[in-house]
Amino acid sequence: MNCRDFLNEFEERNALSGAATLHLNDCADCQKTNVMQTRVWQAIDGFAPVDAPNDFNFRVKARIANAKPNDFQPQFFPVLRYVLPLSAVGLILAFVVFNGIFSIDDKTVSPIAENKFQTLDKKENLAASSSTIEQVTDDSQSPKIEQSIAGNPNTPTFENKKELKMPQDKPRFVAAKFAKKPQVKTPGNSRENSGGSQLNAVSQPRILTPKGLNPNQKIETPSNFEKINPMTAGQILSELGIETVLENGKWEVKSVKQNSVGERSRVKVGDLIEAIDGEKLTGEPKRAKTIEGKKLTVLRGAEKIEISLRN
Amino acid sequence: MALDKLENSAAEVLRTTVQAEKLSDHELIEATKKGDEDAFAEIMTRYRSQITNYLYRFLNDYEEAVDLAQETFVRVYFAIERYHTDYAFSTYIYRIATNLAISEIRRRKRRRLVSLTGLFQSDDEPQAQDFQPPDKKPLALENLIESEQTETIARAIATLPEKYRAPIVLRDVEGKSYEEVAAILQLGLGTTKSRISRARKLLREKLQNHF
Repeated sequence: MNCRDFLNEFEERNALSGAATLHLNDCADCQKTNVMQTRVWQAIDGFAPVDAPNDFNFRVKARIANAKPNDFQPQFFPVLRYVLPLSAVGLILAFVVFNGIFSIDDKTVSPIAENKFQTLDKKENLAASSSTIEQVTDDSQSPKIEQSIAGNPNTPTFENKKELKMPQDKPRFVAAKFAKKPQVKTPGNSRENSGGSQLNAVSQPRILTPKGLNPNQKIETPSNFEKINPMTAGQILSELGIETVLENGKWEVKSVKQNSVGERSRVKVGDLIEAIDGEKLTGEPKRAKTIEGKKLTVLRGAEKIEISLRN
Repeated sequence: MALDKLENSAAEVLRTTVQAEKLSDHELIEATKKGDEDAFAEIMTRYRSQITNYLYRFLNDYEEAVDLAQETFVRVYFAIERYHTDYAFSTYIYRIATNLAISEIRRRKRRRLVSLTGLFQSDDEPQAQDFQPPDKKPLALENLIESEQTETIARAIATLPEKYRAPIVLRDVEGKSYEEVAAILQLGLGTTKSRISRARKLLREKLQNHF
Protein backbone atom coordinates (compact mmCIF):
# COMPACT_ATOMS: atom_id res chain seq x y z
CA MET A 1 0.00 0.00 0.00
CA ASN A 2 1.25 3.47 -0.83
CA CYS A 3 0.52 6.79 0.86
CA ARG A 4 -2.29 7.62 -1.54
CA ASP A 5 -4.14 4.37 -0.92
CA PHE A 6 -3.64 4.82 2.81
CA LEU A 7 -5.04 8.32 2.72
CA ASN A 8 -8.07 7.19 0.73
CA GLU A 9 -8.80 4.48 3.29
CA PHE A 10 -8.02 6.74 6.25
CA GLU A 11 -10.36 9.49 5.05
CA GLU A 12 -13.30 7.11 4.99
CA ARG A 13 -13.04 7.24 8.82
CA ASN A 14 -13.51 3.49 9.08
CA ALA A 15 -11.30 1.11 10.96
CA LEU A 16 -7.96 0.73 9.17
CA SER A 17 -7.22 -2.52 7.38
CA GLY A 18 -4.12 -4.59 8.14
CA ALA A 19 -2.28 -3.27 5.09
CA ALA A 20 -3.10 0.31 6.04
CA THR A 21 -1.92 -0.26 9.61
CA LEU A 22 1.37 -1.72 8.36
CA HIS A 23 1.89 1.25 6.04
CA LEU A 24 1.10 3.66 8.86
CA ASN A 25 3.75 2.06 11.05
CA ASP A 26 6.36 2.40 8.31
CA CYS A 27 5.52 5.86 6.85
CA ALA A 28 6.41 8.95 8.91
CA ASP A 29 4.44 11.31 6.64
CA CYS A 30 1.29 9.26 6.98
CA GLN A 31 1.78 9.09 10.75
CA LYS A 32 1.94 12.87 10.85
CA THR A 33 -1.16 13.19 8.68
CA ASN A 34 -2.97 10.64 10.81
CA VAL A 35 -2.21 12.49 14.03
CA MET A 36 -3.07 15.90 12.64
CA GLN A 37 -6.30 14.83 10.99
CA THR A 38 -7.45 12.89 14.03
CA ARG A 39 -6.98 16.00 16.19
CA VAL A 40 -8.96 18.08 13.71
CA TRP A 41 -11.76 15.54 13.68
CA GLN A 42 -11.78 15.39 17.45
CA ALA A 43 -12.04 19.17 17.63
CA ILE A 44 -14.82 19.21 15.05
CA ASP A 45 -16.68 16.48 16.88
CA GLY A 46 -16.44 18.69 19.94
CA PHE A 47 -18.38 21.46 18.27
CA ALA A 48 -21.38 22.27 20.41
CA PRO A 49 -24.59 22.08 18.40
CA VAL A 50 -26.10 25.45 17.67
CA ASP A 51 -29.85 25.77 18.11
CA ALA A 52 -32.16 28.11 16.32
CA PRO A 53 -33.74 30.85 18.45
CA ASN A 54 -37.09 30.13 20.06
CA ASP A 55 -38.95 32.62 17.91
CA PHE A 56 -37.56 31.11 14.73
CA ASN A 57 -40.91 29.84 13.43
CA PHE A 58 -42.63 33.10 14.26
CA ARG A 59 -40.01 35.09 12.38
CA VAL A 60 -40.27 32.85 9.34
CA LYS A 61 -44.04 33.18 9.30
CA ALA A 62 -43.71 36.95 9.56
CA ARG A 63 -41.31 36.96 6.64
CA ILE A 64 -43.67 34.82 4.60
CA ALA A 65 -46.55 37.15 5.40
CA ASN A 66 -44.54 40.20 4.32
CA ALA A 67 -42.90 38.62 1.27
CA LYS A 68 -44.14 38.95 -2.29
CA PRO A 69 -44.43 35.53 -3.90
CA ASN A 70 -43.12 36.92 -7.21
CA ASP A 71 -39.78 37.62 -5.54
CA PHE A 72 -39.16 33.91 -5.33
CA GLN A 73 -40.30 32.91 -8.80
CA PRO A 74 -37.55 31.90 -11.21
CA GLN A 75 -36.48 35.00 -13.09
CA PHE A 76 -35.35 35.17 -16.67
CA PHE A 77 -31.96 36.61 -17.31
CA PRO A 78 -32.75 40.34 -17.33
CA VAL A 79 -31.44 40.86 -20.85
CA LEU A 80 -33.88 38.26 -22.16
CA ARG A 81 -36.75 40.53 -21.17
CA TYR A 82 -35.72 42.82 -23.98
CA VAL A 83 -34.08 40.36 -26.36
CA LEU A 84 -37.05 37.99 -26.65
CA PRO A 85 -39.66 40.60 -27.67
CA LEU A 86 -37.19 42.23 -30.07
CA SER A 87 -36.41 38.85 -31.61
CA ALA A 88 -40.11 38.16 -32.05
CA VAL A 89 -40.63 41.51 -33.77
CA GLY A 90 -37.58 40.86 -35.97
CA LEU A 91 -38.90 37.47 -36.99
CA ILE A 92 -42.29 38.90 -37.88
CA LEU A 93 -40.66 41.65 -39.96
CA ALA A 94 -38.41 39.13 -41.69
CA PHE A 95 -41.45 37.00 -42.46
CA VAL A 96 -43.33 39.97 -43.92
CA VAL A 97 -40.35 41.10 -46.01
CA PHE A 98 -39.62 37.59 -47.22
CA ASN A 99 -43.21 37.08 -48.27
CA GLY A 100 -43.30 40.46 -49.94
CA ILE A 101 -40.30 39.61 -52.10
CA PHE A 102 -40.88 35.97 -52.85
CA SER A 103 -44.66 35.69 -52.94
CA ILE A 104 -46.09 34.01 -56.02
CA ASP A 105 -48.69 36.02 -57.83
CA ASP A 106 -50.66 33.80 -60.14
CA LYS A 107 -51.64 36.69 -62.37
CA THR A 108 -48.15 37.72 -63.45
CA VAL A 109 -45.20 36.13 -65.22
CA SER A 110 -42.16 35.09 -63.23
CA PRO A 111 -38.61 35.81 -64.28
CA ILE A 112 -37.89 32.10 -63.99
CA ALA A 113 -40.54 31.27 -66.52
CA GLU A 114 -39.38 34.18 -68.58
CA ASN A 115 -35.86 32.76 -68.90
CA LYS A 116 -37.23 29.48 -70.14
CA PHE A 117 -39.17 31.03 -72.94
CA GLN A 118 -37.79 30.86 -76.39
CA THR A 119 -36.32 34.08 -77.72
CA LEU A 120 -38.32 35.78 -80.40
CA ASP A 121 -36.82 37.47 -83.31
CA LYS A 122 -36.26 40.99 -82.04
CA LYS A 123 -37.26 42.55 -85.29
CA GLU A 124 -40.58 40.79 -85.43
CA ASN A 125 -41.21 41.56 -81.82
CA LEU A 126 -40.65 45.24 -82.26
CA ALA A 127 -42.66 45.41 -85.47
CA ALA A 128 -45.59 43.69 -83.84
CA SER A 129 -45.28 45.94 -80.82
CA SER A 130 -45.25 49.17 -82.73
CA SER A 131 -48.09 48.23 -85.04
CA THR A 132 -50.25 47.11 -82.18
CA ILE A 133 -49.68 50.25 -80.26
CA GLU A 134 -51.01 52.20 -83.15
CA GLN A 135 -53.93 49.92 -83.77
CA VAL A 136 -55.13 49.23 -80.32
CA THR A 137 -54.74 52.58 -78.67
CA ASP A 138 -56.08 55.75 -80.14
CA ASP A 139 -54.42 59.11 -79.64
CA SER A 140 -56.53 60.14 -76.72
CA GLN A 141 -55.71 56.99 -74.77
CA SER A 142 -52.04 56.87 -75.54
CA PRO A 143 -50.64 59.47 -73.13
CA LYS A 144 -52.72 58.08 -70.32
CA ILE A 145 -51.41 54.58 -70.91
CA GLU A 146 -47.85 55.80 -71.28
CA GLN A 147 -48.17 57.47 -67.93
CA SER A 148 -49.54 54.41 -66.27
CA ILE A 149 -46.72 52.28 -67.65
CA ALA A 150 -44.02 54.70 -66.58
CA GLY A 151 -45.38 54.76 -63.06
CA ASN A 152 -45.68 51.02 -62.76
CA PRO A 153 -42.54 49.23 -61.55
CA ASN A 154 -43.81 45.95 -62.95
CA THR A 155 -43.92 47.27 -66.48
CA PRO A 156 -41.91 44.94 -68.70
CA THR A 157 -39.02 46.56 -70.46
CA PHE A 158 -37.54 45.73 -73.77
CA GLU A 159 -35.13 43.25 -72.20
CA ASN A 160 -38.07 41.28 -70.92
CA LYS A 161 -39.85 41.49 -74.20
CA LYS A 162 -37.15 40.05 -76.36
CA GLU A 163 -36.73 37.02 -74.14
CA LEU A 164 -40.39 36.13 -73.88
CA LYS A 165 -41.79 33.80 -76.40
CA MET A 166 -44.38 35.35 -78.62
CA PRO A 167 -47.02 33.34 -80.42
CA GLN A 168 -46.34 33.66 -84.10
CA ASP A 169 -49.95 33.63 -85.15
CA LYS A 170 -51.07 36.61 -83.04
CA PRO A 171 -48.11 38.95 -82.73
CA ARG A 172 -50.17 42.10 -82.43
CA PHE A 173 -51.90 41.09 -79.24
CA VAL A 174 -48.80 39.87 -77.52
CA ALA A 175 -46.86 42.92 -78.52
CA ALA A 176 -49.61 45.16 -77.28
CA LYS A 177 -49.56 43.40 -74.00
CA PHE A 178 -45.84 43.83 -73.52
CA ALA A 179 -45.75 47.34 -74.85
CA LYS A 180 -48.55 48.82 -72.82
CA LYS A 181 -50.06 46.52 -70.25
CA PRO A 182 -48.38 46.33 -66.87
CA GLN A 183 -49.69 42.85 -66.16
CA VAL A 184 -50.75 39.80 -68.08
CA LYS A 185 -54.48 39.57 -68.28
CA THR A 186 -56.10 36.26 -67.56
CA PRO A 187 -59.72 35.23 -67.86
CA GLY A 188 -59.86 35.08 -64.09
CA ASN A 189 -58.55 38.57 -63.61
CA SER A 190 -61.17 40.53 -61.78
CA ARG A 191 -60.01 43.83 -63.21
CA GLU A 192 -60.62 42.58 -66.68
CA ASN A 193 -64.01 41.23 -65.78
CA SER A 194 -65.00 44.57 -64.41
CA GLY A 195 -63.83 46.24 -67.59
CA GLY A 196 -61.50 48.70 -65.88
CA SER A 197 -58.60 48.78 -68.36
CA GLN A 198 -58.39 50.44 -71.74
CA LEU A 199 -56.67 47.35 -73.07
CA ASN A 200 -59.24 44.89 -71.90
CA ALA A 201 -60.84 44.96 -75.29
CA VAL A 202 -57.82 43.10 -76.65
CA SER A 203 -58.33 39.35 -76.68
CA GLN A 204 -55.98 37.29 -74.49
CA PRO A 205 -52.59 36.20 -75.80
CA ARG A 206 -51.67 32.58 -75.94
CA ILE A 207 -48.27 32.14 -74.33
CA LEU A 208 -46.37 28.94 -74.86
CA THR A 209 -45.16 27.82 -71.50
CA PRO A 210 -42.41 25.35 -70.71
CA LYS A 211 -43.85 22.40 -68.85
CA GLY A 212 -43.75 22.81 -65.09
CA LEU A 213 -43.46 26.57 -65.10
CA ASN A 214 -46.15 29.08 -64.39
CA PRO A 215 -46.33 31.86 -66.95
CA ASN A 216 -48.64 33.89 -64.75
CA GLN A 217 -46.04 34.79 -62.20
CA LYS A 218 -44.87 38.26 -61.46
CA ILE A 219 -42.23 39.90 -63.62
CA GLU A 220 -39.63 41.29 -61.29
CA THR A 221 -38.25 44.43 -62.84
CA PRO A 222 -35.88 46.29 -60.58
CA SER A 223 -36.58 50.00 -60.26
CA ASN A 224 -33.07 50.79 -61.46
CA PHE A 225 -33.34 48.46 -64.45
CA GLU A 226 -32.81 51.23 -66.93
CA LYS A 227 -29.69 52.36 -65.21
CA ILE A 228 -28.10 48.96 -65.04
CA ASN A 229 -29.19 47.93 -68.57
CA PRO A 230 -28.79 51.04 -70.72
CA MET A 231 -28.97 50.86 -74.50
CA THR A 232 -27.09 53.11 -76.88
CA ALA A 233 -28.89 54.85 -79.69
CA GLY A 234 -27.08 52.49 -82.09
CA GLN A 235 -28.57 49.47 -80.38
CA ILE A 236 -32.02 51.03 -80.42
CA LEU A 237 -31.78 51.82 -84.10
CA SER A 238 -30.43 48.35 -84.76
CA GLU A 239 -33.68 47.03 -83.35
CA LEU A 240 -35.41 48.94 -86.12
CA GLY A 241 -33.16 47.32 -88.73
CA ILE A 242 -31.03 50.41 -89.11
CA GLU A 243 -27.32 49.80 -88.63
CA THR A 244 -25.54 53.02 -87.68
CA VAL A 245 -22.15 54.29 -86.67
CA LEU A 246 -21.50 57.23 -84.38
CA GLU A 247 -19.52 59.81 -86.24
CA ASN A 248 -18.89 63.34 -85.05
CA GLY A 249 -21.61 62.94 -82.47
CA LYS A 250 -24.21 61.85 -85.02
CA TRP A 251 -25.53 58.44 -85.94
CA GLU A 252 -24.86 57.77 -89.61
CA VAL A 253 -26.84 54.99 -91.31
CA LYS A 254 -24.48 52.40 -92.79
CA SER A 255 -27.06 49.85 -93.86
CA VAL A 256 -30.77 49.09 -93.65
CA LYS A 257 -32.00 45.55 -93.30
CA GLN A 258 -34.49 44.22 -95.74
CA ASN A 259 -38.07 43.95 -94.57
CA SER A 260 -37.30 45.93 -91.45
CA VAL A 261 -39.05 48.92 -89.97
CA GLY A 262 -36.19 51.05 -91.21
CA GLU A 263 -36.62 49.92 -94.81
CA ARG A 264 -40.40 50.29 -94.73
CA SER A 265 -39.96 53.75 -93.29
CA ARG A 266 -37.55 54.49 -96.13
CA VAL A 267 -34.49 55.27 -94.14
CA LYS A 268 -31.50 55.47 -96.45
CA VAL A 269 -27.81 54.79 -96.16
CA GLY A 270 -25.97 57.99 -95.35
CA ASP A 271 -28.80 59.53 -93.38
CA LEU A 272 -27.78 61.12 -90.12
CA ILE A 273 -30.31 60.31 -87.45
CA GLU A 274 -30.60 63.12 -84.99
CA ALA A 275 -33.54 62.26 -82.79
CA ILE A 276 -36.27 59.83 -82.01
CA ASP A 277 -39.59 61.47 -81.20
CA GLY A 278 -37.77 64.72 -80.79
CA GLU A 279 -35.36 63.33 -78.25
CA LYS A 280 -31.84 64.02 -79.46
CA LEU A 281 -29.52 61.07 -79.79
CA THR A 282 -26.02 61.22 -78.43
CA GLY A 283 -23.29 58.71 -77.85
CA GLU A 284 -24.59 58.20 -74.34
CA PRO A 285 -26.78 55.21 -73.56
CA LYS A 286 -30.46 55.91 -73.89
CA ARG A 287 -33.25 54.61 -71.83
CA ALA A 288 -34.82 51.50 -73.24
CA LYS A 289 -38.29 52.95 -73.55
CA THR A 290 -37.08 55.21 -76.39
CA ILE A 291 -37.59 52.31 -78.81
CA GLU A 292 -41.28 52.81 -78.48
CA GLY A 293 -40.91 55.96 -80.55
CA LYS A 294 -42.79 56.58 -83.72
CA LYS A 295 -40.85 59.31 -85.47
CA LEU A 296 -37.21 59.79 -86.52
CA THR A 297 -35.58 63.13 -87.17
CA VAL A 298 -33.09 62.60 -89.97
CA LEU A 299 -30.57 64.85 -91.64
CA ARG A 300 -30.40 63.83 -95.32
CA GLY A 301 -27.77 65.91 -97.03
CA ALA A 302 -28.57 69.45 -96.00
CA GLU A 303 -32.26 68.68 -95.50
CA LYS A 304 -33.78 67.80 -92.17
CA ILE A 305 -36.76 65.50 -92.55
CA GLU A 306 -39.17 63.70 -90.23
CA ILE A 307 -39.70 60.03 -90.95
CA SER A 308 -42.69 58.20 -89.48
CA LEU A 309 -41.86 54.64 -88.64
CA ARG A 310 -43.88 52.15 -90.59
CA ASN A 311 -44.41 48.80 -89.21
CA MET B 1 -69.94 26.21 27.79
CA ALA B 2 -67.12 28.51 26.73
CA LEU B 3 -64.69 26.40 28.70
CA ASP B 4 -65.82 23.31 26.82
CA LYS B 5 -65.16 25.05 23.50
CA LEU B 6 -61.68 26.05 24.64
CA GLU B 7 -60.91 22.52 25.74
CA ASN B 8 -62.15 21.16 22.41
CA SER B 9 -60.03 23.66 20.53
CA ALA B 10 -56.93 22.80 22.56
CA ALA B 11 -57.54 19.12 21.99
CA GLU B 12 -57.86 19.76 18.26
CA VAL B 13 -54.54 21.60 18.18
CA LEU B 14 -52.85 18.84 20.17
CA ARG B 15 -54.27 16.17 17.89
CA THR B 16 -53.07 18.06 14.78
CA THR B 17 -49.61 18.50 16.27
CA VAL B 18 -49.32 14.85 17.18
CA GLN B 19 -50.45 13.86 13.72
CA ALA B 20 -47.93 16.20 12.07
CA GLU B 21 -45.10 14.75 14.14
CA LYS B 22 -45.88 11.29 12.84
CA LEU B 23 -45.88 12.29 9.21
CA SER B 24 -42.85 11.90 6.93
CA ASP B 25 -41.22 14.90 5.28
CA HIS B 26 -42.95 14.23 1.99
CA GLU B 27 -46.34 13.91 3.65
CA LEU B 28 -45.76 17.20 5.43
CA ILE B 29 -44.85 18.82 2.14
CA GLU B 30 -48.02 17.51 0.53
CA ALA B 31 -50.05 18.81 3.48
CA THR B 32 -48.33 22.19 3.19
CA LYS B 33 -49.21 22.32 -0.50
CA LYS B 34 -52.84 21.90 0.53
CA GLY B 35 -52.54 24.86 2.85
CA ASP B 36 -51.83 23.11 6.18
CA GLU B 37 -49.69 25.63 8.08
CA ASP B 38 -49.14 23.21 10.97
CA ALA B 39 -47.41 20.86 8.58
CA PHE B 40 -45.01 23.60 7.52
CA ALA B 41 -44.41 24.52 11.16
CA GLU B 42 -43.47 20.89 11.79
CA ILE B 43 -41.02 21.00 8.88
CA MET B 44 -39.44 24.10 10.41
CA THR B 45 -39.23 22.48 13.81
CA ARG B 46 -37.50 19.45 12.36
CA TYR B 47 -34.90 21.28 10.32
CA ARG B 48 -34.41 24.73 11.83
CA SER B 49 -31.59 23.72 14.17
CA GLN B 50 -29.85 21.55 11.59
CA ILE B 51 -29.91 24.31 9.03
CA THR B 52 -28.90 26.99 11.52
CA ASN B 53 -26.02 24.84 12.76
CA TYR B 54 -24.89 24.10 9.21
CA LEU B 55 -24.99 27.75 8.20
CA TYR B 56 -23.24 28.80 11.40
CA ARG B 57 -20.36 26.40 10.67
CA PHE B 58 -20.34 27.57 7.10
CA LEU B 59 -20.28 31.32 7.83
CA ASN B 60 -18.98 31.36 11.41
CA ASP B 61 -21.51 34.09 12.15
CA TYR B 62 -24.53 33.16 14.27
CA GLU B 63 -26.79 36.13 13.42
CA GLU B 64 -26.13 35.72 9.72
CA ALA B 65 -26.71 31.98 10.03
CA VAL B 66 -30.11 32.48 11.69
CA ASP B 67 -31.08 35.06 9.12
CA LEU B 68 -30.15 32.80 6.21
CA ALA B 69 -31.84 29.81 7.85
CA GLN B 70 -35.07 31.80 8.01
CA GLU B 71 -34.60 32.87 4.41
CA THR B 72 -34.12 29.21 3.52
CA PHE B 73 -37.52 28.29 4.94
CA VAL B 74 -39.19 31.25 3.25
CA ARG B 75 -37.78 30.03 -0.06
CA VAL B 76 -38.88 26.49 0.63
CA TYR B 77 -42.40 27.77 1.35
CA PHE B 78 -42.72 29.74 -1.87
CA ALA B 79 -41.10 27.04 -3.99
CA ILE B 80 -43.01 24.19 -2.43
CA GLU B 81 -45.08 23.63 -5.58
CA ARG B 82 -41.90 22.98 -7.54
CA TYR B 83 -40.53 20.49 -5.04
CA HIS B 84 -40.43 16.93 -6.33
CA THR B 85 -40.37 13.95 -4.03
CA ASP B 86 -37.76 12.22 -6.19
CA TYR B 87 -35.08 12.97 -3.62
CA ALA B 88 -34.98 13.56 0.13
CA PHE B 89 -36.32 16.79 1.52
CA SER B 90 -33.20 17.16 3.65
CA THR B 91 -31.11 17.20 0.48
CA TYR B 92 -33.40 19.83 -1.00
CA ILE B 93 -33.30 22.15 1.99
CA TYR B 94 -29.54 21.79 2.47
CA ARG B 95 -29.08 22.68 -1.17
CA ILE B 96 -31.09 25.87 -0.77
CA ALA B 97 -29.19 26.76 2.39
CA THR B 98 -25.86 26.12 0.67
CA ASN B 99 -26.75 28.31 -2.28
CA LEU B 100 -27.83 31.11 0.03
CA ALA B 101 -24.62 30.82 2.04
CA ILE B 102 -22.47 30.91 -1.09
CA SER B 103 -24.37 33.98 -2.29
CA GLU B 104 -23.75 35.62 1.06
CA ILE B 105 -20.02 34.87 0.88
CA ARG B 106 -19.85 36.39 -2.58
CA ARG B 107 -21.76 39.44 -1.39
CA ARG B 108 -19.27 39.85 1.42
CA LYS B 109 -16.37 39.59 -1.01
CA ARG B 110 -17.81 42.40 -3.09
CA ARG B 111 -17.97 44.61 -0.03
CA ARG B 112 -14.50 43.72 1.15
CA LEU B 113 -12.22 46.51 2.28
CA VAL B 114 -9.02 46.76 0.36
CA SER B 115 -6.55 47.64 3.07
CA LEU B 116 -2.98 48.74 2.52
CA THR B 117 -1.76 45.68 4.34
CA GLY B 118 -3.82 43.57 1.95
CA LEU B 119 -1.53 44.65 -0.87
CA PHE B 120 1.36 42.84 0.77
CA GLN B 121 -0.55 39.69 1.63
CA SER B 122 -0.27 36.59 -0.46
CA ASP B 123 -3.28 34.53 -1.48
CA ASP B 124 -2.47 31.93 1.14
CA GLU B 125 -2.73 34.41 3.95
CA PRO B 126 -6.01 35.27 5.63
CA GLN B 127 -8.34 37.34 3.45
CA ALA B 128 -8.81 41.07 3.86
CA GLN B 129 -11.24 42.33 6.43
CA ASP B 130 -14.93 42.56 5.56
CA PHE B 131 -17.29 45.45 6.09
CA GLN B 132 -19.29 43.09 8.25
CA PRO B 133 -16.68 40.94 9.95
CA PRO B 134 -17.90 37.61 11.33
CA ASP B 135 -19.36 37.82 14.79
CA LYS B 136 -16.65 36.22 16.94
CA LYS B 137 -18.09 37.26 20.26
CA PRO B 138 -19.09 34.34 22.44
CA LEU B 139 -22.86 33.95 22.46
CA ALA B 140 -24.94 34.07 25.56
CA LEU B 141 -25.95 30.46 25.34
CA GLU B 142 -23.59 28.23 27.20
CA ASN B 143 -23.62 25.53 24.59
CA LEU B 144 -22.17 27.99 22.08
CA ILE B 145 -19.10 28.73 24.17
CA GLU B 146 -16.34 26.68 22.69
CA SER B 147 -12.78 26.05 23.51
CA GLU B 148 -10.07 28.11 21.91
CA GLN B 149 -9.01 25.17 19.78
CA THR B 150 -12.51 24.65 18.49
CA GLU B 151 -12.85 28.33 17.75
CA THR B 152 -9.58 28.20 15.81
CA ILE B 153 -10.85 25.35 13.70
CA ALA B 154 -14.16 27.12 13.09
CA ARG B 155 -12.30 30.18 11.89
CA ALA B 156 -10.01 28.07 9.73
CA ILE B 157 -13.02 26.42 8.10
CA ALA B 158 -14.57 29.83 7.46
CA THR B 159 -11.44 30.88 5.55
CA LEU B 160 -11.54 27.93 3.18
CA PRO B 161 -12.60 28.65 -0.40
CA GLU B 162 -16.35 28.15 -0.81
CA LYS B 163 -15.94 25.19 -3.15
CA TYR B 164 -14.06 23.33 -0.38
CA ARG B 165 -15.93 24.74 2.58
CA ALA B 166 -19.37 23.35 1.76
CA PRO B 167 -18.20 19.74 1.25
CA ILE B 168 -16.09 19.60 4.41
CA VAL B 169 -18.81 21.16 6.58
CA LEU B 170 -21.41 18.76 5.23
CA ARG B 171 -19.16 15.72 5.60
CA ASP B 172 -17.13 16.34 8.76
CA VAL B 173 -19.41 18.69 10.71
CA GLU B 174 -22.88 17.59 9.65
CA GLY B 175 -21.84 13.96 9.22
CA LYS B 176 -23.48 13.49 5.82
CA SER B 177 -22.41 10.57 3.66
CA TYR B 178 -20.41 11.17 0.49
CA GLU B 179 -23.53 10.39 -1.56
CA GLU B 180 -25.62 12.93 0.33
CA VAL B 181 -22.93 15.59 -0.01
CA ALA B 182 -22.74 14.89 -3.74
CA ALA B 183 -26.53 15.19 -4.05
CA ILE B 184 -26.70 18.44 -2.07
CA LEU B 185 -23.88 20.06 -4.04
CA GLN B 186 -25.01 18.51 -7.31
CA LEU B 187 -21.57 17.13 -7.95
CA GLY B 188 -20.26 13.75 -9.00
CA LEU B 189 -19.17 11.35 -6.26
CA GLY B 190 -15.54 11.46 -7.39
CA THR B 191 -15.50 15.23 -7.45
CA THR B 192 -17.06 15.35 -4.02
CA LYS B 193 -14.49 13.00 -2.51
CA SER B 194 -11.70 14.90 -4.18
CA ARG B 195 -12.92 18.22 -2.83
CA ILE B 196 -13.35 16.86 0.68
CA SER B 197 -9.84 15.43 0.61
CA ARG B 198 -8.44 18.70 -0.68
CA ALA B 199 -10.36 20.65 1.96
CA ARG B 200 -8.98 18.46 4.74
CA LYS B 201 -5.47 18.94 3.45
CA LEU B 202 -5.93 22.74 3.32
CA LEU B 203 -7.35 22.68 6.83
CA ARG B 204 -4.41 20.66 8.16
CA GLU B 205 -2.02 23.11 6.57
CA LYS B 206 -3.82 26.05 8.16
CA LEU B 207 -3.86 24.40 11.58
CA GLN B 208 -0.41 22.86 11.69
CA ASN B 209 0.94 25.73 13.81
CA HIS B 210 -1.92 25.48 16.29
CA PHE B 211 -1.72 21.79 17.11
